[in-house]
Amino acid sequence: MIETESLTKVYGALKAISDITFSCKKGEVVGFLGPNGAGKTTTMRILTGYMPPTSGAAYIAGHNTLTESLPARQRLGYLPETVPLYPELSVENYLAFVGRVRRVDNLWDRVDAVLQTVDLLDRAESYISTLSKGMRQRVGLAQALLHDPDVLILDEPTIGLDPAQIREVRQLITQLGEKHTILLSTHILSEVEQICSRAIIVIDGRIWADMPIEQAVGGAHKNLLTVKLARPAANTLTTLRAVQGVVEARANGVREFQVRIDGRDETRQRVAETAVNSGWGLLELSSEKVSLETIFLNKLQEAEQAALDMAEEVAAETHPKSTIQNPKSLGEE
Amino acid sequence: MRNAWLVAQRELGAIFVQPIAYVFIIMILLITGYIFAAQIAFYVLQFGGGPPPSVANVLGLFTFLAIFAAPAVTMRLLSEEQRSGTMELLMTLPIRDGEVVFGKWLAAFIFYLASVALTIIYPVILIRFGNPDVGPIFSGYLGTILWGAGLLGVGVLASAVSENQIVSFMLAFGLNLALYLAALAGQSFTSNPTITNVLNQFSYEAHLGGFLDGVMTATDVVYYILVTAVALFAATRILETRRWR
Repeated sequence: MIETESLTKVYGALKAISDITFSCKKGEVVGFLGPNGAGKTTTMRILTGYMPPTSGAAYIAGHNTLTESLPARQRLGYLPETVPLYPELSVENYLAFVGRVRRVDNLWDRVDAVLQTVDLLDRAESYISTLSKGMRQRVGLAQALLHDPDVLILDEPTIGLDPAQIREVRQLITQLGEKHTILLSTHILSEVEQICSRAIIVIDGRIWADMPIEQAVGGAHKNLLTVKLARPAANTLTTLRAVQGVVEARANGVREFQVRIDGRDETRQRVAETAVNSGWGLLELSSEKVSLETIFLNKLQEAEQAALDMAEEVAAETHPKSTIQNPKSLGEE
Repeated sequence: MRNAWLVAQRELGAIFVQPIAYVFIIMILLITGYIFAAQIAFYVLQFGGGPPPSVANVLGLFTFLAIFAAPAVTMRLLSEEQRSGTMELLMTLPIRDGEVVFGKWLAAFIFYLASVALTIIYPVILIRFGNPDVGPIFSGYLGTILWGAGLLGVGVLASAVSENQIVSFMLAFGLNLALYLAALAGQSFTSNPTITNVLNQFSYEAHLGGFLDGVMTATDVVYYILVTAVALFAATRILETRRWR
């Protein structure tokens, strides 16, 4: 449904995204993650036909967003980061305008239906200028849903909503995800864990991870153990560190310890035996759950490290004999 | 075309909730009414000494005011959409850029026609109480309508350039004035009649006189239509290039 082939966008001297390639199947809800300025909005704008890529191509339901822009645009619903509303129109007239342009059949029935979906039926006749931020966000969402598109592209759909509304919108997205293909960007990692079937992490304009949520998240972390003890001794940390296969151990509180191991089952057994034999009163020994947050932060670190390495390499090429003290400052030379 | 009409409809709604529409209409009725009344009074008091009343003076003033007023109507058309972010909606809806531009111009043009229609009270008074020549009235109105079409086209072009309404206004006003004064500039080239002639052909003002006097030529009609078409074409191109930035 959504397909991109090495999308690259350059603004003047700035490379906003480079070599973005991914595809989303029908019925997938894909979370688009990344720090601010990573290129999420740029990618979405290319997918919606708002701007062309510098190179590469994007397809919506098989239509090239550049050469077959109109059919591609007809097949998608888009909620931009800045909700595009006409304050002088009433909610229903605004939706009617969008619906007429999109040639929606049974227009007023559809308007009522989407207003019901976003829970704004009682404000249908209100002028958009009188609505709160959360309501405006929902009008924007209604606009994207109006023509029941195959593909939904939502740029931060839950921003500005209160907790109850956030939950409703998440439920709505989950529900829509059964029939539609949805690509949404957000900063809220738990949101992605809850509603997305897949996460794509974009950092500095590149894809750093593209993974199914179920496999990546929630599973046991093989390398991280949590050990709870009833009577830890003074030498507990040093003893744990000395166990064969343990990489690192640290206290997570008075009675809780976090132990990083080599991932082997034998090591876990040895940690348990050590705890029992030392008479510390072993209460619990569990593997830590992997969260999207740990993955995200790891990827961020990876990306930073890669940038540093690259700077060092460049520096080594340009100044082969000088010793590099601070590779970060080299970019300014 | 259907999409352009949808854009125009939406825009007309927006124009009429803006105070600028009413200021525009009040200003036009006030000033043209004053001139018309003064003209009648002059004629009556002179007992046949002055020229018989016609709509040429009223329309001459109307078209002059339009040079300032048209940019005030067009400045928000595309600028506001760009500033508020609704351009992102328009450009991702299945509408061509040309349809957006034409729809915007159409809305401004319909508003302009409505203002022109308000001045029809003057020829109605003339015909009711006098015996004016109907030909120049008809051609004068046609000229006025074509005149507005071109000015609004230039205004839409200026509005496509900037997301700042003041910049759009100043740009449209500047372009309008430059077109209007081309003949004046031509007069200074006394040694080279070719340049004078070329600038005369470019002059926005030079093509209106015939209409007001009741002499319609194809050149004059084509001139105004050409100005409108070129301006709208350029506006569409500018909108397209905005995507590439």
